[in-house]
Amino acid sequence: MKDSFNPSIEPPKKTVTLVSSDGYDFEVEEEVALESQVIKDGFEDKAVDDREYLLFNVHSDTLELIIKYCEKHVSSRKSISAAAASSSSSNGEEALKEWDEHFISVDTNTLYDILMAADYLNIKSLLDLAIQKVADTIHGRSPEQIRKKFNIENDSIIDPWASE
Amino acid sequence: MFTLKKHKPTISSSSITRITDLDDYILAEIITKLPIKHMIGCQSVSRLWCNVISSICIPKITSSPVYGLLFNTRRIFSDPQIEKGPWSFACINSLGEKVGLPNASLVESCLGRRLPFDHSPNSLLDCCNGMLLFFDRSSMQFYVCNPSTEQYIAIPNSPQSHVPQDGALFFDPHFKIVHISGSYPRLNIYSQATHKWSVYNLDLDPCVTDSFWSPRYVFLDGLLYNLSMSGHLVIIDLQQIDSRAIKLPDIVVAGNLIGCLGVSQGILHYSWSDKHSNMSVWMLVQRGDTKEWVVKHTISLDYYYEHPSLAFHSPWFSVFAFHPTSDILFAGSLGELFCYDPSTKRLEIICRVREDIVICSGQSFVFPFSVNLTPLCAPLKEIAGKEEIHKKLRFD
Repeated sequence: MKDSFNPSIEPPKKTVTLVSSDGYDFEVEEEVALESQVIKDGFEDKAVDDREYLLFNVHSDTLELIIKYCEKHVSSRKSISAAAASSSSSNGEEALKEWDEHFISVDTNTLYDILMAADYLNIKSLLDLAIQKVADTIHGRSPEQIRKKFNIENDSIIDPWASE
Repeated sequence: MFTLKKHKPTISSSSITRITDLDDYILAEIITKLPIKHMIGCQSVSRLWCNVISSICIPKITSSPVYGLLFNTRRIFSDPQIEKGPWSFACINSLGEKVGLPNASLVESCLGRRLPFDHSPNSLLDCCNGMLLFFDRSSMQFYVCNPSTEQYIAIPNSPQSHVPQDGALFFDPHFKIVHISGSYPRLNIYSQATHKWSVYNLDLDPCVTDSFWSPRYVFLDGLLYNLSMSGHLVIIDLQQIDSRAIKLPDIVVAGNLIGCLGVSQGILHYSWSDKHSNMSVWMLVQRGDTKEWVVKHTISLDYYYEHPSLAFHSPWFSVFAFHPTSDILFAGSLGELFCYDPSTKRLEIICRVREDIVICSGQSFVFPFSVNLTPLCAPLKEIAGKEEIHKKLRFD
């Protein structure tokens, strides 16, 4: 199988098809799909004409966002390393950070969907971003406020705030 | 751009994901980002949260004997003799285990940004068992602070009226603070058990007391150790209040860069590097009635990093701190911190500082930091109300 993969022969644009849980095909560039560690592991063992991934846990709405994130990161990385190679100053990393911040400012349900998908697809940087965002939401809230905010049933056996 | 083959329906996704549906390990990752004090309080949110916090989050941050290194930096070309520069914190991902990004709020606390007084880089004197010792020049007071639980204690004023240049914090098992003052040296000891300062005179050879001492003290088994630039190890017995000095190993050249002292695996360790960055590590062992230096490692690293200020200094590469429970050494130059494992000879970078700053007095001011959740039994009102949490929720 590995013989079929020859990096020296470069077709104009290699693409991969990602299929969402609700049955939509997303055709993306190979390097964008490879942002996912899950797709990357075992990618080379897959035949070139069989590069279709059924993502049973990712809804098309979420997948669209995930692809947007990966495309942005692939292109930013390229421009940052290009700027470094020509030793011209660039605020690419700062700009990307800002973009990330804006990207992750979504409603709570979308945030969980992104979190679950980033975990499922193993996209480390996106997972970290989403985790930090949820943590920021919890930050500074009392246990009661957290239960209310996240709709968690109070089955706690301890109450650290009670006096002895 | 990606292409969408089918037309999407207009109905929205059937999202039913909630925080309770997340995998335990993701929930743990989220909670680990919270300030530790807040994290402990969150145990009462639900049973699931309690389990995740006590069985994943807390062990994750407290199990490591070195969570990070606290080190001092200064601007390149500034005079190192005058003042300390800003402190920095580097999270360790040694031993092949990635710890991810450090808990930001813990780092803030470690750097003294939540202290009850206006701190400066000179305020931080020592770090021991995850607790920090500060001295506030405006109130002339020592503070002991636990950055993990965000608690602090103000220590009654020392009988000495001048600003201490250095100070040591150690646990025996209650904490004690020591600082040495005067040219005819006096030993000042504060004990948490008695809440009192005691002052003693030290009887040492003038050649030892006339030289500068390292600002870093090391405590082990009732003895306090320090390095004198005269080329001696000063040993102070804190029970008998007896002091003596023994010569450092023969190859050590007395002077400013007198080396690094630390405790590893319950044994006093000492390291010194020559001009060619050959690092030697000794252990101090008891042989009959005398203590002797025994060579543990001799390390020559073929490593060179171009740092702007290295052109003006020798390419010193030396040990900055000892790992408390293993043979691992924390070493570095002016620009970088490393973790070195003598058994595998593996050198792993911990961090590289910006090019306009340098690591300042690495042999004295690189402190291994571990997370300690022991509450400080403090008389301060700010602490008293919240202490209940820690009393009730014990962590094994």
